[in-house]
Amino acid sequence: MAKCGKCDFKGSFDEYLNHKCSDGFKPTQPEHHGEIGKKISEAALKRGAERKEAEKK
Amino acid sequence: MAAATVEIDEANGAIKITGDATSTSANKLVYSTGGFTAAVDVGDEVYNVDDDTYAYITAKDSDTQLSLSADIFENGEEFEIQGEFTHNITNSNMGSTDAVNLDPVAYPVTPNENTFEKYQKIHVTAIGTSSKIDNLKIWRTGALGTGGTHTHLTNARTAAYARMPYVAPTDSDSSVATQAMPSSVPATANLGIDGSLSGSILSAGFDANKAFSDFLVHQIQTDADATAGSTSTMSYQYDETA
Repeated sequence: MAKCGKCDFKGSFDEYLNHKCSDGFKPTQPEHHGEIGKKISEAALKRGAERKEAEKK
Repeated sequence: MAAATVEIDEANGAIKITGDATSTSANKLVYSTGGFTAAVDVGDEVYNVDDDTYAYITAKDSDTQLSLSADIFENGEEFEIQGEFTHNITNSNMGSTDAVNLDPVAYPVTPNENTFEKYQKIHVTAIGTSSKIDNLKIWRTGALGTGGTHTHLTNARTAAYARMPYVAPTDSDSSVATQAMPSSVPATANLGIDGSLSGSILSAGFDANKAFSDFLVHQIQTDADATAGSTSTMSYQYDETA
């Protein structure tokens, strides 16, 4: 059984991915992780782009 | 552009089910004793004890058969399926119980004892329009405590890395978390994907390109002079290629 650490949801893995959490978003939606998640994602994309650029050179 | 969606998951408790495969079938685990329906879930990691190989459950075909992301089992080979998974944990508090999102005030660590190990994974729930997640780096910052020698140990490492299977977390000295947790961002990846520090996640599905990192295992060990009250912060970092 897949459990959500943010709300009290329990179910199958697919049900977990498709449940609406306490914040109204699904675990597959970037909004689920809020502003902190957005910043983490932006930093990850920046590092990825820098590496891609470095590999081109 | 839609960024990937990433969360931290944690497994707790005993191995869900273990036994010997009772048949050979491509990309399947067949176990005539049964018990899969109630015990396991899609996304669980399956370990072949005999071959030291891994796969993920992609479907529960029946109570006695699972579909796997890799063809790793032959008749008679021993399998283990990881502990109960909690997705999207809200903290990595460590203490004197094996529980997710635990309350460290309710479960403090007695000086000269250890926290229970943590078994955690980075999980890509959606890849968005990105093409790759890789370069996983794990470290901690902040004081571990005063008055004694406190050690935060992990299986994460930048060299001689080896993927570790799930075992029930213990507060005995970890046999898996044996290297000091970095106290600053490591220069290179220190947590693998599919057993490799250069591994990558290319989709959120359970095909050949996994949706999960390997298990990160970590534990804090204290001595008799340890005092309570300090906070250390865990960092989990990945690179994302659009």
